[in-house]
Amino acid sequence: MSVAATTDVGVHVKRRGFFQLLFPSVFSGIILGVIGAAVCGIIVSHIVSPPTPDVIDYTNDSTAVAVYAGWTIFFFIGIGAFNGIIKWGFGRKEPTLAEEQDLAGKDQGFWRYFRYTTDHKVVGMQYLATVLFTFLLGSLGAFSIRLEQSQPGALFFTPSTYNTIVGMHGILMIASTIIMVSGPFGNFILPIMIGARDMAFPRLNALSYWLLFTALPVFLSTLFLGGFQTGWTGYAPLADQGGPGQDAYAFTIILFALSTTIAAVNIVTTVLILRTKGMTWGRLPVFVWGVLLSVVLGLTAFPAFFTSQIMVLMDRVFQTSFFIGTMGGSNWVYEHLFWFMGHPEVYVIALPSLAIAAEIASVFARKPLFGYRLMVSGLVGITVLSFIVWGHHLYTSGSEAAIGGPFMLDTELISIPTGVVFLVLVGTLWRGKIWVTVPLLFVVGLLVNFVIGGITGLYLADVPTDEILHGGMFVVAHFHFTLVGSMVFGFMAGFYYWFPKMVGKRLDPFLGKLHFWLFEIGFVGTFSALFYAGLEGEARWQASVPPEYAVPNLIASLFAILIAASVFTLIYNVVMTLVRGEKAEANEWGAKTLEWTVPTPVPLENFEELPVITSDPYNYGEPEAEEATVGAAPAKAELQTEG
Amino acid sequence: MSETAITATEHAHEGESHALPLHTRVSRARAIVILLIISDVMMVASIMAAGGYLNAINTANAFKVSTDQPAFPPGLIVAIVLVLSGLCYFWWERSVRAGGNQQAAVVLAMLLMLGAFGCEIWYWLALNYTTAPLSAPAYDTYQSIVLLVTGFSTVHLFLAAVVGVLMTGRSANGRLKGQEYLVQAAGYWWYYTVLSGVLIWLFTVIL
Repeated sequence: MSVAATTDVGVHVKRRGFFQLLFPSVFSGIILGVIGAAVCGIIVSHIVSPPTPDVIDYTNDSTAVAVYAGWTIFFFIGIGAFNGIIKWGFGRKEPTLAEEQDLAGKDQGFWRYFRYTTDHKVVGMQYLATVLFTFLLGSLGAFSIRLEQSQPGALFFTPSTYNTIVGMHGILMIASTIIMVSGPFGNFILPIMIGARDMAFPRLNALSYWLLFTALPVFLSTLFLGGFQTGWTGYAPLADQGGPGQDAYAFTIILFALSTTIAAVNIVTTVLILRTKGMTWGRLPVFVWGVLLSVVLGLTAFPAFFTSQIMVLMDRVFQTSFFIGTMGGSNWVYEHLFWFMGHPEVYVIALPSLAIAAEIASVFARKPLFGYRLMVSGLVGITVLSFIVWGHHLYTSGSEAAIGGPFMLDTELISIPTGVVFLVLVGTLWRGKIWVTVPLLFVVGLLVNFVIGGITGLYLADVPTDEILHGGMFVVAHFHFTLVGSMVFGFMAGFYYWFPKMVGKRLDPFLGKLHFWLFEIGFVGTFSALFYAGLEGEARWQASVPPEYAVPNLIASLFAILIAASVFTLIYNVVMTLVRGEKAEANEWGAKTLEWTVPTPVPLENFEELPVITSDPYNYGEPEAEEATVGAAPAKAELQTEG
Repeated sequence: MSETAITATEHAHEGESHALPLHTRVSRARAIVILLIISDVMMVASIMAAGGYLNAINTANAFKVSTDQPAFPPGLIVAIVLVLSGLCYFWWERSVRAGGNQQAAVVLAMLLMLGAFGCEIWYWLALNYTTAPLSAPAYDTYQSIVLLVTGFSTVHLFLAAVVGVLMTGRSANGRLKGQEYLVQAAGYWWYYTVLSGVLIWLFTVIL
C-alpha cells in the first residue's frame, strides 16, 4: 500500500508497503547478487576458460574471480546503488527534499538499516554492528588458536587448517581495527561534532559501507575453498601457489580497499568543507583530527596494497609473473607494496584511537586537554613519519642491508611524536577531578598497554635485536599489545562513551567494569606469557607448540579464557541494554563537544539550526564556559547570506 | 517525527538544494575529485615503482626479452585520441564558463574517450603475447607489467567515458544551469585521465 501525504509546504512523503520495502534493499541485493554470481561463474567456467586438456587449468581461479565480481556488481544493482547515478545523469530534475529524506531512511524504522540508506547515523550503526560481528568472528579464531596452542602437538587442527585460522583471524582483525573507529564513530559522531547535517556525500557513504558488506561473504567463502596458507600478509609467491581460497583473500582486500578509499575521501571532504561557522582548525575536536589524519593516511597508503592484490590475481588468473623469480619477477615487490600499506596501517588504526583517548581523558578529568596543539602536532608527526618506516619489516627478508640503517632511524624517530601524544594523555589526567567510568578505565588500560607495546617495539625497530626477535613470539606479543591492548581498548573507550548517544540507552556500568577488568587481566596475562616464550626462542607460525615452550603457552591459553569471558560479558551487556536498558540522557557525561548538544535519538538533520562555535570544546573549569562553547544560533537570514 | 511534520530546517532547505550553499557545493565537488585523483596517483605511482624496481633488479636476467616491446603505433594512436578528447573537453568547459554550452564539444569529448577506450582494447590485442599457455607462468615480468598498466588504463578510460556519458545527459537535460562547477570538477578527472593515460603508455615505452 502506498499513501502520499502532502505537507503544508507541498512535500510529498510516501508510505511504503511490505514489498516496496524489500525492493530495493539488502534482500533484493542478495538475491540478485547470488544470481549474478552464479551466472558469471557458469559463463567463465564453461565458455571463457579453455576446455582443452593440453593447457594449464586455471579454471578454478578465473571462475572464483568471476563469481566474486558477479556477486559484487549484481548486489549493488539489487540494492539500488546505481539508481542515484542514473538519475544524476539522465533525470530531468534534481531530487526533492522529500526524496532525499526518503533515501536517508526517514520514517522507515528499523528497516532503514537494511537499505541503501544515506543518513550518516544509519551508516555509522551499520558499521558498528558489522565491526562487532567481525570482532566476534576474529575472536573465535583467536580462541581456536589458543586452544590449539595450549599443549604441544596437534590437538584439533591439521597444520593447513591452523594456518588458515591464523590467517583469517589476522586479516579479519586487522580489517576490523582499521574501520572500528572511522567507520562507526567517524560516520555517526564526526559530522555532528563539526556541526554538519550529514556527510559531504551521503550516497558515497552508503556505498563505502555496502562495499564492506559485499566483502564479507567473499572473505568467508575461503572456508569452503580450502582456505589460504599465506597468513594475513598474503605473501607472494606463496599467494600465487595456493588454492582458490587465495582468490577470496585477494578479492576481499580489493573490495575493502575500495570501501576505505571511498570512506576516506568522504570523511576528508566533510571535514574540509562542512565545518560549521566558528569551527576553526584550532577548535576542531581532537577526535576529528585523529580520524581525519587516519583516513588521509589510508587514502595514500592503501593503493599500494590494492595494486599488490591485483598483481596476485593476475598471476593466478592470467599467468603473469610479477613474483616469479625465474621469469624476472621478485617477492620483494610484494613485500614493499604490502608494507608500504602495512606499517602506516598501524597508525591508521592508532590515530583515531589515541584521539578518542584524548577526548575521554579531558571529559572525565574535567580539565582542558593538556596541550591541544601539542597533541595535534604529535598526530601530524606520526602521520608524516609513518610513510617512511615500512622497510623495518624487511630487515630479515634478505633485501639490501644498507637500507636497514635509515629505516631504523625513521622508525625510532616516530617514537617522539608518539611520546608527545602519550604525554598529552597523561598530562590531561594529571591532577584532574577524575570520574572513574568505564570509558575512562579503558583509556587507562590503553595507557598501560601502550607503554608495553611501544617500548617492546623499539627492540624490533633496531636491526640487531630484530634479527634475533623477528621470527618469534615476541613480535606476536608486541603487535597484540599495540593493536589490541592499545587501539582496541581505545575503540572500547569510544564504544562505552558514545553508545548512549548512538543507541539512546545506557550500558550497565557494573558489567562494563567487569568487561574491562576481565579483558585487561586476561590480555596482559596472555601476551606477557607470549613475550616470555618469544624471549626464550619460540618461533611463530608453528601449528604445534614445541614441548620446551609448553608452560608459557599453557599460561597464555588459560589467561585467554578471561578474554573470552570478557567478550561474553560485553555481548550480554549490549543485548540486555538493547532489550531493557535505561534511557540515556542527551548529554550523558556532561561533555562539551557538539554531539552532546543534540537530542537523543539524534534527529534526521542533527541540528534544528546550525550552531556557531565560539571557543574550543575542552574549556572545563573556565567560568561561563558552557555558554562560550556554542554561541547563539545565527538568524536564518545570516545562513542564507552565507550561501 | 511524524510523516507529515516538517521542521523549520526543512522549510529553510526548500528550493536551496537541501541547505548546502553554492560555494560549499563547489568546494565539495572540487575536493572529492582532487582526493580521488590523489588516491589514484598513488596507485599509478605504486605500479610504476613496482615496474621500475623489477626492471632495476632484473631477476635471473629474465625481466624482458627483445620481442616483448609493444608496437609503437597503437599506443601512439591511443595517446593522440586521448589528447584530442581532453582538448574537446576543455573547449566545452570554456564555453560553459563563458555562460554558453557547446554541447557538441562534450559529445565529441565523450565519443573520443569511448574511441580511446576501444583503441586501448585494440592495443591490448595487438600486443600479441601468448594466450594459450602450456605451462605457467605464461608471461615474463615485462609482459606482465604491460598487461597490468594496459588493463589499468582501460579501466581509467572506461570510468572517464562513464563520466562523459553522465555529463552529456545532464547537459542535454539542461541540468548544468547554475551548476557549472560540475563541469569544472569533472574536468579535473578528465584531464587527469588524459595525462595518466599518456604517462602510463610512455612508461611502458621507456621501461
